Amino acid sequence: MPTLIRQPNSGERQPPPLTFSTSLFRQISPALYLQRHLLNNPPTRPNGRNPSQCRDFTLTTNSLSHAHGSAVVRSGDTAVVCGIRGEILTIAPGDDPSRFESYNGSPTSAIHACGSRGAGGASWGGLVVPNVELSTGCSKKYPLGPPGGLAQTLSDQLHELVNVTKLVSLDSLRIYDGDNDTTSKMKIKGYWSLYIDVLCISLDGNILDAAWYAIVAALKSSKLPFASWNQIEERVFCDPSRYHPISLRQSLPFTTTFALVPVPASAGGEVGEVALLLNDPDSYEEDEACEILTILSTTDLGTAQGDFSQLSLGKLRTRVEKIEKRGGWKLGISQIEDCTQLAASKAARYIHTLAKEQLTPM
Amino acid sequence: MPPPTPLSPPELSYLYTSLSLTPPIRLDLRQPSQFRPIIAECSFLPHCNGSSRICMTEAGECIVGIKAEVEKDATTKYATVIEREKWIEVSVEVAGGGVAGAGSGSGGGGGGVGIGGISGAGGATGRDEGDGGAAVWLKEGLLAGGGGAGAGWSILDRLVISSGWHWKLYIDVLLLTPTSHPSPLLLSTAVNMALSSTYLPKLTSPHDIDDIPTFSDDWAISTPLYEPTSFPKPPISLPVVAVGDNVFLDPSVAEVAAAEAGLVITLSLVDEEGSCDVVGVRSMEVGRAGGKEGERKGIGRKLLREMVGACVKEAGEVIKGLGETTQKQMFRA
Amino acid sequence: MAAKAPDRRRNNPPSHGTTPPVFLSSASSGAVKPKQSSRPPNEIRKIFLRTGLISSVTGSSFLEIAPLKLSISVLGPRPLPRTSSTPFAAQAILTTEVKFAPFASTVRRGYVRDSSERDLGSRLYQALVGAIRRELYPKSRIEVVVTILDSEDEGDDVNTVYMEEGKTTVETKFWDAGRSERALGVVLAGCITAASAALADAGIEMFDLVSGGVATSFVDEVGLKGKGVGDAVSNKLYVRDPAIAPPEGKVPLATCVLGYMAARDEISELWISGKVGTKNGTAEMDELVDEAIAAARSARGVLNEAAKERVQFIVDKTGTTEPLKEESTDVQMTG
Repeated sequence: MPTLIRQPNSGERQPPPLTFSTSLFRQISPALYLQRHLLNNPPTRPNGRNPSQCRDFTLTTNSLSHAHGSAVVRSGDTAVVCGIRGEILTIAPGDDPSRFESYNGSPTSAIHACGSRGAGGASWGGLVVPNVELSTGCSKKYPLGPPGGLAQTLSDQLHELVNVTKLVSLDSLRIYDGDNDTTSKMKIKGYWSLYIDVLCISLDGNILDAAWYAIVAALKSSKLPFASWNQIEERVFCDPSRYHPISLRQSLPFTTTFALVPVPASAGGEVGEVALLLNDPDSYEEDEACEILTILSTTDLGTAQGDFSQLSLGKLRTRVEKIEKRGGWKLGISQIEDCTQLAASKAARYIHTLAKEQLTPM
Repeated sequence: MPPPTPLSPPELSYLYTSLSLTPPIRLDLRQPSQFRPIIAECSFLPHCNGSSRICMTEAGECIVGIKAEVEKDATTKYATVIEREKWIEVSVEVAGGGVAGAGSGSGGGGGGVGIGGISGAGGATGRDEGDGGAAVWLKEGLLAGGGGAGAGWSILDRLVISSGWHWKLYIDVLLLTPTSHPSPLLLSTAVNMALSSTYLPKLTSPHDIDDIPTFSDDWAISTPLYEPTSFPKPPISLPVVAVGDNVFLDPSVAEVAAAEAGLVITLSLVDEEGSCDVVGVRSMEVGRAGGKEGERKGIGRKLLREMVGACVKEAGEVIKGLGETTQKQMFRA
Repeated sequence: MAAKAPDRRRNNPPSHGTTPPVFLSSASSGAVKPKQSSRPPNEIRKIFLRTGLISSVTGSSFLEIAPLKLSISVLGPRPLPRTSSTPFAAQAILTTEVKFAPFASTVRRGYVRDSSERDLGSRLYQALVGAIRRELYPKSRIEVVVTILDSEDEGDDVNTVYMEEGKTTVETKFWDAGRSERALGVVLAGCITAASAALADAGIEMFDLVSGGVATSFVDEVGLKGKGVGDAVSNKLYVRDPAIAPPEGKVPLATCVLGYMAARDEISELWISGKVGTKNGTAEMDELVDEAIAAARSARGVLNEAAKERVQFIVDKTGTTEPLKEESTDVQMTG
């Protein structure tokens, strides 16, 4: 690169503009680099996708031998491994099981925070414990050591998602007294507590979607041993030969994340900036995004279930459960609608892949 | 990180050269297989089941106290294997806390105490707390040593009191000299002696009931943890380093810094004649400070034989001597 | 579980504490003996090794040996932080971290590295530190991060209680002795092999690639019980890359794990645990070490292939042979 240092001489001609190679441009001015790509017609992202296109993903379930359920999700260069292990919470004689039975009302963040972070949540949400581990050398940027801000936020987000969606039904987590199984009201002696650990192996943006999908897939493929209270030994024993799946809610919710990137636009003679929505951002785009939009939605495949090829977007019935937009940029209703559509199609693909994975014999 | 020495690179280079001569010249004029003198004392803490104090010139001073507590098995009537391994707890601490207590304080030295760089050294970064590596291998040697795998004898069996109850053994090692790299010999000698002098009170309640066991308060009829007349005996770990073709037992800190290769060999006495079995070998981190670049990067097989051979030859006498000293002190007291 | 202060950086389990499931098995159905592998004792298990899967770090590798799965990232060399407390480093500072995923073993692991993980880390350090040309990277730091996703251990057997006519029994299980050594040994050997591959992928200059090998010696169970130990020692069975379950009717004696530099014929890391007799001097140990070296040599073949594959991939992609510089020497080193 020829760089010329000039004396600032008044009256001189304008210096020739500096030129950079593409890769250097990418490094030194990411915002501009991204904008230039997006101002193309049609807009193309630096990674070659168009704004509404998400990355291909792969799913593998139950590849780990010690987890009760596991899933590996790879979406572009983001790869996460989710493992679920059940441990037994035995109710002490004086304890009131109803503490564990409530769904914790409305998990506003204040209640939620003291429930999970305090002395360990005694609420229903306390039985399912999701954690994200990023200190695995998954990225140069993320330091090793105890969980940093991002990992803590993610763990919290996932915990809230588990709570708010009531993903796991309590039925399959209860452990009864095994000896009087015919009595009218069986006594609850304990609960399964599910430890959901998501390890990020490779980080390249949009880890929330990948982690959530891995959690849902891992839960779906989990099998817990059949546990019951043994009165002679006074503790809960498991039967090594009988296993039961964890029952989840009927229609599974999925998240879809968009990055909002400001691009200059001229509307009505005024030059301003509008936000462009990028589906499934990678980390380069996330760094430049002014805001992240996450939609949690369930999709009913209806009649088209089983045959993905005949699926058209119009047929999908989508219910939005949650939209998380932390503020910072304005977004038109039509844009939200577009996003909902994209979320629906992505959820459909998720469901399809999951169903296919479940059918594949191990 | 190799143990820090006050020696400068030229000094280390000089040391390296003098150690690689035939015959080699050690700084303190010892023979290659000669140990440093030690002052040993055992069973001197009245409130411990077993204790020892070892003082080594240059390498420092160290106190070990062993306390046994009665503990109910974590589960009602049996213990899974994982629970059994928790019956012995080893901790290593440095007096003053300047080095081991604050892991981050010993710039790069890692958390806790690393034994001659075996552990807790380069690999561990400052944020880890806890006992570092020393406790790990001391316990490993203890579980493997003596009869070891196959012979069906385990120290854990000696800790069973009655059904549902066991002794929990707390082995606390306290280093009185603040160093982040104590000699493995110092620690293992101290633990060895303390174990040999450990006596547990005699059980007076029957074996097969679940109630809290009761014990006799007469220490004259207490039972030793390791039978003094039979085998196995507690294991002992010997450090050995190599410079050039020469092998040195019980290296000093400076010798470790200049050495090219190092091992810690754990041995256990098996019969009266003083022959021992190897129950463990571990690499020890050495400074590699004096040699030239591109020379030896590991241990060749011939050198390995020489290093282990030297240890095996000398160890029997050392362990036997130590055992006899312990006996003498125990019965005098 | 001891009541500890909750980790405020993570979501915590219920305050009541939870226990891992314990299985109850009737003695008649008995311990389900693990399947015996049909693998001959002098053959190691198939190794799957792939490098360069993580794009956002300097070097990476993924290794799979039967149930063992681990992922390694190499970060750096990058400059040491410029603080007054940082000492001058004439050679690169290597750090190694080994962490089991919480779900990687039968007993759920915690989030903070425990002593056995730290110990594995420092032994991996020992295996690698001599092989890296650290003097070429002054004032910098190389980090090797190992994440173990799955490993072989005793399975649910450790948590199983066998019931016999209403009373529970604890027998000394067949894997009771030396089992953790074998389990950790296989993990460590895998870590060493994969870490070398990841370092090569990162383009860090080394004297030689280090491959890990592990071997265990077994003796007859009958021989041990019937006669003195001395007789049983004569007919030893050496198994390279041992599985957790010992061969039928055999009892493990000692396990040897080592990091081996085939081109230099040197051992960078050695760990023997168990009983090695010394009646014939060091002959018994030599045999064991030789077996472990043979296992390491077999692993070296896989390591070379992985390095070659990666070079080929880079050459195909960029059309340059520049990164070949280091690996090309490795190919000649095939031990």
